Amino acid sequence: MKGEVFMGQRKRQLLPNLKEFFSLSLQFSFDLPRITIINNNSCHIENHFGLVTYSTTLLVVKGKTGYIEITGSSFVISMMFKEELFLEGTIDSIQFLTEL
Amino acid sequence: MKYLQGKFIFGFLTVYVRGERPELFFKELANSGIYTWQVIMQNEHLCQGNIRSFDINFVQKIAQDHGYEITLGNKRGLPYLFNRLWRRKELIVASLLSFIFLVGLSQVIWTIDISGVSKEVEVKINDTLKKQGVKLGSFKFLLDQTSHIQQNILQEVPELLWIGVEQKGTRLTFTGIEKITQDNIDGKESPQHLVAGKNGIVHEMRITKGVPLVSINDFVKTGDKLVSGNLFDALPEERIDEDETIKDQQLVTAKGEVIAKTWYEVQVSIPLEVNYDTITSNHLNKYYLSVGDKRLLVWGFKQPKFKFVHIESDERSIINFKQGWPIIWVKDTLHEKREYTYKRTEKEAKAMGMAQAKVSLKRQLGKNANILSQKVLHEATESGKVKLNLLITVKENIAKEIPITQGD
Repeated sequence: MKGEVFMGQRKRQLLPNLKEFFSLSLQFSFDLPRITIINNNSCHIENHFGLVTYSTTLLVVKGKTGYIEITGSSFVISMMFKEELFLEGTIDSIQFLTEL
Repeated sequence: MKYLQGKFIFGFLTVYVRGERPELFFKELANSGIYTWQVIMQNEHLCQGNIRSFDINFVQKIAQDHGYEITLGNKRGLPYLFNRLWRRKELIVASLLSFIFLVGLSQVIWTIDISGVSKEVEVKINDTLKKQGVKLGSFKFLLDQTSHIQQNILQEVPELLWIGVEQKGTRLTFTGIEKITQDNIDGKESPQHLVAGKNGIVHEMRITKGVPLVSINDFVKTGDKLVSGNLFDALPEERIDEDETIKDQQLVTAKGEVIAKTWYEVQVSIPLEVNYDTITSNHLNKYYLSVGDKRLLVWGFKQPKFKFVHIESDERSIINFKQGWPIIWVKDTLHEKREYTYKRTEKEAKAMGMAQAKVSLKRQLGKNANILSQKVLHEATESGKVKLNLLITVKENIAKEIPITQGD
């Protein structure tokens, strides 16, 4: 577990420099949240900065610059790690908010 | 995903969290690096989620720190399975015992079949087997090798011509063939002549039936008729001519012994230098389990300090699979071997050669042959060997029975 944390820190230090050096696109920004949705029933959020609210109809996580709000119904967090989250359920909308 | 690999092996459980905003409890867990999954909000004050069982202590500590009330439940995974099984020790003991019994009882002889022999011989075989320790209920691995058992029975029961010993699982099968003695076959004697089986000079005749055609000190060749089974051979020829009523044959079974002097030329060669090995009483046992051609040393880790080693292997299969892939229990006995070289003089070699020729000839001719004299015809020493040509004179029975065929 500690190893994972350590790797995360290293990544955060090393990767922006690499990105600049190779002048890569936004796709390779590792510290920006990245959301992958499959249809409207599965959602994978990476690089979030923590869970803010969670209920069966609402999920709010903190991103780097704001909040990500997902609404829908019968939500289940099928897996939750420090910076990674799998959400299952029926997704109605995804909103990016600067403030709650 | 990879974080959750092996969750079944290490065990996992469901934690129920009660309190204000229970979802934030899971956020705390995630922040401290604990993996959670299947997080479901039951209602506003109750949330459930799965954690790995080795995180329990940490989870409880976090719950205490933040004022959440947690309940643990629904434990799954190998550690809990083992725990449950461990609480039912009798089940483990029973299955272990049944396995031990299964293997143990399969090592016991449960049936001994003896077939192909008469009742009395069967009893005799049974007695010798008992003396050897082969009986119902004796352990397979304590028995001698089947070839030893076979030899022993053949020695102890002279009525047997041959006996086959076969071990199939817990069954020991003996198939015997009895010797058929001459009196058993000859219910009715058929007419026969006696002829010479070898060249020789007739020395003694003991005829119980038949007409002798040779006399003592006659030289006979192989195939010469010695004793006739036709009684009319005794009559002078004129009488047969005179009496019409006498038919030309009156047949009996010629019987008797015709002892004659015979000669044999025997060649023997005796090496002057002999190497031979002896085994001392020092030995080591090594036990292996072998599958196919792989061997696993189970017991006997000492290495022998012997200079020369003679290995005796005894293989026994513990479990036989259908397609002949046995697990074999191998006992290797390592004997200390000593090698000797022995040098003989030519004189010794000659004496030994003569004795050897005598013994081997006697063995070839049987008990009733008598060796009269031995003469060296030729003697040569060649490439470390003494070669002898011997002439041996023997007194023996040369009579050979030949049935008289009566034309159909």
